[in-house]
Amino acid sequence: MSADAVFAALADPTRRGLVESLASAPATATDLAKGLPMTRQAVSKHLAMLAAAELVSTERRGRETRYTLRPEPLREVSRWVDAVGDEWADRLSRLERSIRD
Amino acid sequence: MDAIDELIERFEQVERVERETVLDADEERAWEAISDPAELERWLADEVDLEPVEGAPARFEVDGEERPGRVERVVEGRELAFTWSRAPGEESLVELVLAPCVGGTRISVVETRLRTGADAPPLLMSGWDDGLRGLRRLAHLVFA
Repeated sequence: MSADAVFAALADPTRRGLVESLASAPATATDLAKGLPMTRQAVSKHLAMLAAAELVSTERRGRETRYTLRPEPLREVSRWVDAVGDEWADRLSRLERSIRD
Repeated sequence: MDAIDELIERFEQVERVERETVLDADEERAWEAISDPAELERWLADEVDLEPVEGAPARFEVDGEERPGRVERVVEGRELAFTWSRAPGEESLVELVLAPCVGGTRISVVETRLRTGADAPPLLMSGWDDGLRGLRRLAHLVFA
């Protein structure tokens, strides 16, 4: 999952609100819609976008779907920094050696 | 620093990497090391085609992979900036800056990921009404 998709999914304040709610406990669209000025259907649409970014996992519960937060994509966002940072550390070591020789 | 602070710090820098070191060399020697293709091939990439002229196309080969690029800024003896693409649509800007210091010449490197084309907008926080504050709050909630 790309950082772009994750941040695009989180760019919407409503979806961030849903992520915050799900941080405390898994919930269904009905549960989540209770505290919000929107329909269950609208909440479901936002949840689908979070699911597409793999920020939530889904589990069928009778007639409803229960959503659980998955923090892994947020962690993965920092991988670019790790990989590129390691590359530069190696390059600068090579440069130091090359200058000394 | 606790794990959450570290994570937030990494989010803030998600598109940007900075590294620096001090080279045992005067500025002239250091400039040669960052502007001469033969020198660059000793540390930057396996193959380097680059002329330190602003706007000139450049080409790098890293681990058998071609990285096309362009020279963006040249301050003779001081600074060289170029772009390179790790993959189509994955372009970044590399800025190499020299400064004299005790013990030699300090070189600092900043690589910033650039966003172009279809996947352009989300430079980290665009579209985030509350920007970094929103991210901090979220990170605390999710990782607390």
